[in-house]
Amino acid sequence: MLFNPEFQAVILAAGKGSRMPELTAGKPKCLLPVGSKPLIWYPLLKLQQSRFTDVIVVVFENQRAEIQTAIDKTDLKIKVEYFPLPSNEDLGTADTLRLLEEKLKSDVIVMSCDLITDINLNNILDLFRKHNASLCTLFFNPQAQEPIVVPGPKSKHKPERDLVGIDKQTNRLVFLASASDFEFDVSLPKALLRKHTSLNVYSNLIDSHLYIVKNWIIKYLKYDQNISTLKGELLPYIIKKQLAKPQKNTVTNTSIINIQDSNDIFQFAKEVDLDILIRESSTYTDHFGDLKASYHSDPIRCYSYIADTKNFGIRVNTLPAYWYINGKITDIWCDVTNEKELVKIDSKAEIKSNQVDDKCIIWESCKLNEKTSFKNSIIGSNTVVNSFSRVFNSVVMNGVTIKERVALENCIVCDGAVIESGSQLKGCLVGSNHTVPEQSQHCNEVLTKSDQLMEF
Amino acid sequence: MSKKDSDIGQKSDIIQAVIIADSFGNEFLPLSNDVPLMLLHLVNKPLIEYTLEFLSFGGVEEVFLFCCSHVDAIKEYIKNSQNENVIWSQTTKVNIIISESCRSFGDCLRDLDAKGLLRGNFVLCEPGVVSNIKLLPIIKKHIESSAKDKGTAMTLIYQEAGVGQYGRCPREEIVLASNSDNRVLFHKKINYNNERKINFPLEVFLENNCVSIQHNLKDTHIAICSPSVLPLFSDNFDFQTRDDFIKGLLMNEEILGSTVYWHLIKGNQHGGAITNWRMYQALSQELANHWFYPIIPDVKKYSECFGRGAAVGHNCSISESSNISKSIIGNNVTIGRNVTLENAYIMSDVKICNDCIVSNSIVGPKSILRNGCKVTFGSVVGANVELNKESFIENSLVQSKRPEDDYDDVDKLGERAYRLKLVDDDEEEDIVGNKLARRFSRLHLDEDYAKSDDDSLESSDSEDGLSHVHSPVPDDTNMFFSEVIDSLTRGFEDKLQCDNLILEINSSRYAYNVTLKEVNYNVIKAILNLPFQHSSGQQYLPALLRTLEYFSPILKNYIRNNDAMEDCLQAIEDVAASNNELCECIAKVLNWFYDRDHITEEAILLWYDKLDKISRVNARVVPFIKWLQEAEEASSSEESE
Amino acid sequence: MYEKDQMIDIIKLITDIKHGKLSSSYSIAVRAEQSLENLISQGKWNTAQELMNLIKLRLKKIVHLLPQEATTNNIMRHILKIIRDEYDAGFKSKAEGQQTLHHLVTADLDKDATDYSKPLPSLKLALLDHLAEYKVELEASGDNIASQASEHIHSNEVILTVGKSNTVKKFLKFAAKTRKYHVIVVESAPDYQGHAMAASLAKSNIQTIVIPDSAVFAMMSRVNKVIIGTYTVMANGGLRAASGVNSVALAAKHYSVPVMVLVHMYKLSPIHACAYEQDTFNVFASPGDVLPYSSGPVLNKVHIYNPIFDYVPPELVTLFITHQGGNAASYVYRLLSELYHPDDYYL
Repeated sequence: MLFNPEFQAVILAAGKGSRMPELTAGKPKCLLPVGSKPLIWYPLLKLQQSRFTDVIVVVFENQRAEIQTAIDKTDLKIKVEYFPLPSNEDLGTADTLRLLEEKLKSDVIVMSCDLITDINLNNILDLFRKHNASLCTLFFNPQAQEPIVVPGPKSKHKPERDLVGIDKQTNRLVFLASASDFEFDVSLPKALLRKHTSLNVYSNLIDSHLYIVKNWIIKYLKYDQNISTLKGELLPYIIKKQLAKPQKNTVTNTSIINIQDSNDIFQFAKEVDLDILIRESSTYTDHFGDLKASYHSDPIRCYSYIADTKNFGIRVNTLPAYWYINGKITDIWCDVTNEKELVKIDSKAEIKSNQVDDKCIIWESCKLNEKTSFKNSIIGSNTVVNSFSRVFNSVVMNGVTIKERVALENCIVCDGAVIESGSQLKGCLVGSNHTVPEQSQHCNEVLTKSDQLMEF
Repeated sequence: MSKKDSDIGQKSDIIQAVIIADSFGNEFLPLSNDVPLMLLHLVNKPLIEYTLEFLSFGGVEEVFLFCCSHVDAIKEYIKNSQNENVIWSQTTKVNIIISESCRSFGDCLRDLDAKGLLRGNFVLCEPGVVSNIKLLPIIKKHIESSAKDKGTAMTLIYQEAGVGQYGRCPREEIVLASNSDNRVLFHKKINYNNERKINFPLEVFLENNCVSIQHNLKDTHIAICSPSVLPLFSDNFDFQTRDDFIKGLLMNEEILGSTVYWHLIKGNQHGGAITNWRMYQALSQELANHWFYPIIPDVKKYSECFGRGAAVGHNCSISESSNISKSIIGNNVTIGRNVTLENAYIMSDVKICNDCIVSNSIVGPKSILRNGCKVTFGSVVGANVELNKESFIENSLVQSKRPEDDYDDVDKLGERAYRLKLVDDDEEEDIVGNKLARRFSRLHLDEDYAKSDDDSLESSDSEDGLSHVHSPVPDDTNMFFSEVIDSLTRGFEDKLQCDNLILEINSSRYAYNVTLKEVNYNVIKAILNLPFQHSSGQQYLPALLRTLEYFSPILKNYIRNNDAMEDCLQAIEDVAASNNELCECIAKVLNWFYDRDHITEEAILLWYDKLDKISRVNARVVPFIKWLQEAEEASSSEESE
Repeated sequence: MYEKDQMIDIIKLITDIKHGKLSSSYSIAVRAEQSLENLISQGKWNTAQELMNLIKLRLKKIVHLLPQEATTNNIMRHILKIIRDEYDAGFKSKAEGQQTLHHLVTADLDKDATDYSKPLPSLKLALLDHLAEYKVELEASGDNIASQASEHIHSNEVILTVGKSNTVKKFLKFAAKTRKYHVIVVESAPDYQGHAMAASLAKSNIQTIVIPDSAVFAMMSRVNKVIIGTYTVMANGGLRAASGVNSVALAAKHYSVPVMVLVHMYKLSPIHACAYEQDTFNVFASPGDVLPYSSGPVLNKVHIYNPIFDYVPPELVTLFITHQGGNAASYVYRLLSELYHPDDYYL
């Protein structure tokens, strides 16, 4: 490389998918099918359309081959570099970045593999560039949720809520915490309120887990080995540090000081002198109401981009979310993929049925026999559906065999499952490689081999 | 305009307002003894004029003026004004309500409730309000939100003001949290205590999607009240002030079912209230600078003859050689030669004789300041006071009558001038807060108050514990020094590793932002002082040598170059100068340092040259130096061979 | 007591002006004329002197409370002149007929100081008649001025105006009926009244452009005429106009663009006042329009002035357009002598 690119992209695809264990037992979360593509295709496409040419995808060692094949099969042109993590270790998101430290030479955009959105990434990148921010996050307004019936047993899904504090005048992100961190009272430092006198605290924003961080943050991660997750630890720490002031160094002669003392975060966050000079020479000030310099002379600045209410953004990390996005993907396909063509029925599928409605998405190498009927469903690759079966409103993944006279409604069937004839499943989750015996009738259940569920 | 009137007219016939005339505190001593707050002159007009003009300007047609003290004076004044057909008397009818037994704001409102004079929504003004806000749109908005939310009790009116502005009283800073409908969810007055954090209840955030937290508000002390406010006051006897009311309503929302809203005034609308002397000063300046247009002061402004910002009343005679800046002078004032007035507020009928200086102070009506008086630093001279020649008054309150209790002769400044002692009746846990509060209710002397508090707030919030800069800079070295002594004492007693001690010392150094020079100096000083800490009965020198021996790694760490050696020697010299024991054995100490190669000959000799030849230290050191020089010659002569 | 009661109408007038209920000069003029009419018809006075004293009392009150409000004062002065004229006419009609030139020249001024205290029974009726005429004249003056528009505005011209003035609006709209031309409106900070003016002109299908105050000099080279209104015309021909007009007039002078000022007769003031003493000439409004109060501690360090009026020296004005036609600035003194009696200039 002759020069460093402005940004480097990292997609974290080594999540265990612990919030939807039934689906992720046999398949990496990033390869779950959404519409006609695997989940990870969407963030990759977003990066590709934002003119990124390379991306580092962090995967588990043992899932790497599978993921690589799946991505190669798609028509993405972006160059993917796979960074394997040992499968047995439980690494946090920040730990992962720490391991990538040598590869990351410029500012980093960290995404999680489960983000599907129609937002233009350039807006966030511009916000980052405009203020020379240390950190930039993306939040979505909550989508209008229609009540949907989720397959599987009814479970109370308590969404996690974040408290996001943003200064009204300057749009700086000054407070970020999870609502579950507090029991009765939320305490804000008085100094914060004196500095940012007018704040908006939102409690219903959805964090996209898309962060743009400056390079020095990666270096700081290397130094501070205690931080293990991005959202839980690193972000609140950096946001809190905006309030503190760097200590004045008065001494520069002989250093008898220990190395440990000199490296607090402000050593890392040093701004280029020329930038400081330019800022001080200009009359630009980002806030009014006091006599302080622009940005209060803070070397650390965190910003947050709140997407417009019209924008769509969802993180597919829970079962309801997965179910929701599959239902909506055909509607929002154009926005999300920026007018790419949606191939609903793959050319290599063998369809002998004539009752496939136009909301279905059929992947390649399927065999749909006659006298079968499909409504609003997604059928994965290499699936065989035998006659007299009907699949309504369901997601059927790859390599599934559905025998005759099977009725599937509102179900999710994972890879390699076999559903013997005569079964009637409503609102069920069939685990991967599981065989549903003949004539079974199930409603709102999870059908799977018990040893495949994740252990906690 | 008329359509709005009829709209509001349907709900409640005319717009009524309530002015509570007393502030029930001793903020305005000593002037409040003679003059009621309402008749206190603000830029040469009584305060009540401004309030009534504002209300009439806002469209209020009936005003209830609630008086508890000095009732006759107020009554007479109102009658006179009505006879003279002053502007507000055309559109507004003033009713005076008297109640001698009320002791607080809440009592007054309870009394009003009992009398049942108010129907419908009304405007509630706290004492001392001056403003030019257009009330009708705000009242309309209040009615609209009442229609949406049946429990709307009050709409508070706030103005946006930056931190550190004169007009923003530090005692009344509030933090307000509200939702998108402008309903108040959390309201807290930060009374300038030392609390570092503000606690918001979690439900406030979870129940509302977007909570707006404001700390940039200035209270105008005006509120639009629904008819339910007065019964609420009657039901809850512990509501003494408006803040109690708001707090009570917010805490007991489910029980009382009432909500509070707030409104931000925009544009050139401006409002404020005189709650203490500092606000008096700020509002006087704002009034004189036309912030309350169209309510303008009735003065002649001389911007060229005198300094900037001098507003002079009618019938004044001011001699040419006087120097006036940023002051407001009342009617009929005589000012003699060579008088300096800076940031002074002189009320009517005052005579200031030659050569006086009045700065940052207030002189009450009909007072006389004889030649050469100096009234400075936030003093308040009451009415009818006569100060003798050459009196010097600083930061005090002076009244003309002898105070009844608790007074010494020292406080008598003249036949009609007695200094008032401020007795802090109310005990508060943090006395610092009270003092500060009192300080801030006084006149604003200079800006550094605001700035220094800002700085101390800012720097003292990094919770790593590395920066605890509470005290100003010179104390840092002392604190550093004492911490070093602590560390070393502990280290010596517990036999800690010297590396760890070095670490401790370094971290203390960064905490107090101490320079390298001072570090060296203080460390040596600490070590030398150590034997005094815990040795009782032991000889100094052996104890010292043992200490030095133990701490030699530290010494090695800190004394590395010539500068450091110089510092070390300086430390030794200073400690010896104040300390007999060290003085006696200073030679041996120096010898030890020299033997262990901590300090070189050259450094010692250089230091000796600079040493004061007459001191005792010198006497003790001389033999060692001689020995050193001989040894040097010997060694150099050896080498030269 | 009795006199104080009578002042109530004036107090009400002052209150309404202060509270902004009477916003335009025209409405103030009409109201002032109305209250004086009431005073004359219903007031208690017997002789001309008494009536004049009553009016002078009111005049003093207004000057005391609203020093810069000139319209009411001018109307009252004019009515004083009407009274004097009617009085003289009433008495002189009894005296000899023509006054020869010899008579005029040798007349002793001192002796001529007429004693107004002789009761004249027909005075009241004469006054009311005259006042009725005056009222008609007042109401028509706007239209009269506007009717001269066609002489001054020609097709395809670019006219510049500042802020909002009802007189100018009428003028331009009248001309627009027969001509097609462009208007540039200066928005006139800090109250931006130019916006309302431009909206109103655009409704009448006049091509309007709004420019900020800073762009005046740049646009002036393209302007054919500057047509403005004013608050008051001073005795020397200078103007007390809205803030910002002076810069426009200076720019116009630079490019030799004619500046035309539309004045009603009640705007002519006999007082000489100019900009040297801003404390008396000008009224300062709230600094909050210029620098908002939320600006923070910077306000502790600055003095902010927000003047309402601007003084335009008479050299910069090309033409005064009154309901009788156009006049030069140097002719104003003549107009004054027709409107007011010299004894009423200063009180």
